[in-house]
Amino acid sequence: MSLLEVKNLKASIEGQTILKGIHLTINPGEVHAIMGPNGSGKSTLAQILAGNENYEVSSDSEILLRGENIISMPPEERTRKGIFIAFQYPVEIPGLSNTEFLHTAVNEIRNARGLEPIDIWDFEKQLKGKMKEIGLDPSFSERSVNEGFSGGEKKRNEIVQMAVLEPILSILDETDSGLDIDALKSVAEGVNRMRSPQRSFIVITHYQRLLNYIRPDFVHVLYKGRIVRSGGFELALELEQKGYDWLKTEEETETSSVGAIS
Amino acid sequence: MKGSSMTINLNDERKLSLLGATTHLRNGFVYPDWWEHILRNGLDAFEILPIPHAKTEDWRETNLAPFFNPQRKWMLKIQKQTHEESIPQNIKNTFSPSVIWENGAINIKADTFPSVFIKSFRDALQTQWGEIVHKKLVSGQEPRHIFEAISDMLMHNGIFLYIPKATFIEKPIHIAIISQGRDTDTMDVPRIFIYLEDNAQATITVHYIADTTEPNSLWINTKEQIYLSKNAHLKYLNSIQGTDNALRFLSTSVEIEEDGSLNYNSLHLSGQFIRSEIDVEIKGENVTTQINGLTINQGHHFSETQQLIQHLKGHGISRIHWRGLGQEQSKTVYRGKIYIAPDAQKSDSIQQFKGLSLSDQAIIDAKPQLEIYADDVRCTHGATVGPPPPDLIYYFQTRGIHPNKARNLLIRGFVNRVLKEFPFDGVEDFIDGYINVSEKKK
Repeated sequence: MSLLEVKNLKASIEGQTILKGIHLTINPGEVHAIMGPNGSGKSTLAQILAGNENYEVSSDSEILLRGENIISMPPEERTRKGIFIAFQYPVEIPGLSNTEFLHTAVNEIRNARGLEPIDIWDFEKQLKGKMKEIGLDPSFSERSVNEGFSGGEKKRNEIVQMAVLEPILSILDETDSGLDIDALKSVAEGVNRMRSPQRSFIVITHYQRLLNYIRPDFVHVLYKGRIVRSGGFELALELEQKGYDWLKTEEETETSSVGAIS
Repeated sequence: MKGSSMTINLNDERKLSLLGATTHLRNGFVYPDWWEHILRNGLDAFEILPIPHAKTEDWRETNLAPFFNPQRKWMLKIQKQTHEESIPQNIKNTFSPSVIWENGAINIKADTFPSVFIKSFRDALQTQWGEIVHKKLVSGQEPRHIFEAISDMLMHNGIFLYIPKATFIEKPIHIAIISQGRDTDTMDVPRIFIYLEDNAQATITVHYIADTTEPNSLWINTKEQIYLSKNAHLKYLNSIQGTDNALRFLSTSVEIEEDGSLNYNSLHLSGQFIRSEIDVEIKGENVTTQINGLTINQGHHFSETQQLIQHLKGHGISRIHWRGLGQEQSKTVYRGKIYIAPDAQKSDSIQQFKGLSLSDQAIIDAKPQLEIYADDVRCTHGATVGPPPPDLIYYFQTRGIHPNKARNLLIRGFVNRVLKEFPFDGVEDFIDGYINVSEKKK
C-alpha cells in the first residue's frame, strides 16, 4: 500500500483557487521533491497535507494516508498518525521552552498510540542528543521555542523536532530558504540520517541546491496549481539549467493551441 | 475577635457621620500632635475631595459604585489579635510570614531579624525611631484623592520596617496582611512604611489576603510607603490574593535617593475590585528601578493598575514589564506613565505592557504614556493586547498537541515570561487556581 495518495486535490483560499487537481502517490521510503516558481501552490500543498484549516478543500478531493482518508482530520490527529511539517517560517513561542513544548508533543503522540508517557528528564537527554547531531547548541533546549533564534537556527530546530517526533511522512516546506551552505548541509544530514525504507519525505523547494544533499527519488514540477511534469533527479538539474521560464512558454503554447481549436 | 470599631457612612452627609471618628480609633492611645495632624488633614481632605467619576482623568474605567453606595455603612473593625490559620497554605509554605497584620492587630516575631527594626507605628513612637516615622509620614504627599484621604484619616496603626545603615539583610522578611470581613460592610486600612538607610539592602515580601464570604462586603484601603536612602537596595514583592467579595484599593509610593535601586514585583490575582497605584519618585542620580507585574483576571472581576515613574534626576534607569491575562467577563486596565523632568538628563526608560485576552467578553485596556521634558534621554514604551494567535495554535497542532492544550501552554508561557523576572522562587505556584483551563480531549 502506498504511504500517501493524493487524489484530485483542489483547494482555494478566500475565493481564490490555488490547487486545481493534484495527483500524487508516495510509497514508503521515497523522497519526492516538489519544485516550482513562486506562487505555484507548493506551500499551499504542504499546508493542506498538514491540515491547515484556513484553506477550503473541494469535497471530491482525497488525501489517503496508508489508505485512510484524512481530509477532514484536524492537524494534531494527522501528526499523531505520522505526518510532520517543517515550516518555512517557524513561529516563536515566548515563555515555553523547547523541552517543555516537545515533551508535551511527544507524549500527546505516544498517548494517541497507546504508549506510556516518557519522563521529562529522559526526554531532555534525548533532545539534547538530537540537537547536537543537527548542529544546534544543546542549551537551546532550555530556551523558548524559536524565540531570538536566527533564521538558520529556526530551521535546524524544525529538523530537531522532526527527529524527535519520528514521523512516517515529513514535509519540508522550503527548509532551504535563507540557509547558508553550512546550515544547509547540517539540515540535509539530519534528514538523510532519518531516511529509512519506512519513512518518506516531501521536499518542497524553489531551488535545486538542497537536492544535491537530499537526493530525491522523484521530482515534480508544480505550476499554477497543477503538477505539470514529473521525473527523476535529472528533472531538477534541468530546472536548474533552464529556470522556470520554459513552463510559461509551454503553457502559453498550450493555451493558444486550445484557442485555435475553439 | 473583640476589638474596637467605628462606622462611616459615605453618603452626602459623610461629614456628619465622620465627626469624632478619630476619637473612636484611639482606643485609649494618646497620639502625638503630628499624628493627630495627619488624621485631621485626612479628614479635611476627605470632606473636600470629590468622589471620582467616569469623567475624572485616570478614573474613567473605574466603577466606584460599590464603595460609595449611600445605603452602605462601612464599619472599620480593629481586632485585638492575629490568627495565623487565616494565611493560605501556599503563602505559608513558600514564604512563612513572620510579620502579620490582621484588621489592625499586629504580630511581629521580632527575634527572627535581630538587625532589623520592625515595630507597629504606635510602638515605634516610644523608641529613637519615632522621629523617622514622624518626619516621613508627615512629609508624605497630601492625599491626591478620596481613597488616600481615607488612609490618612483612619491611620490608627501600621507596620514600620527600618533597615539601619549599611545593613545587609540576606534573609527575606515576609509580611502577611489579612483582612477579615465576616460581617457585612467591613473596612480595613492596612499601612506599611519601609525605610532603608544609606547602603542598606533588604528583601521584603507582602501578601494581601482577604477573608470574606458576603459579596462586596469588605473594603481594604491600603497604603504602602517605601523610602530608599542613598545607595539602598530593595527587592520587593507584593501579592494580592483576590477574592470574589473584597474591594481593594492599594496605594504605593516610593522615594529613591541617589545610587539606590528598587526591584518591585507585583502579583494581582483576580479580585472583585482591585485598584493599585504605584508612584515612584527617582530623587537622586544613578537610580535603577525595575517593576515587574502580572494581573490575572477572571469572572466579572475588575483590576486596574496605575503607575507613575518620575525621573526627577538624571542617569536613572527604569524598566517596567507588566502583563495582564483577561478571562471570561473580566476587565483589566493598565495605565503607566513615565515622567522625565527637565533635570533628568540621560534617563533611560523602557515600559512594556502585554495583554492576553482569553474571551471575547474580557476587556483589556492599556495606555502607556510618556511625558518628557529633558532632551538627552532614551525612552520607549509599548502595549500589545490580543487573543492567542491562531498561527501559534496551529503550530502546536502540527506537533500533535490539541488546541485546548496549546492554549494552556501558551497562557503558561505568557505568564511565565514575566514571572521568571521576579527574583523570588515559588511565585509560579501562586497562580494555580486563577487560570481557568479547559482540556477537553477529542
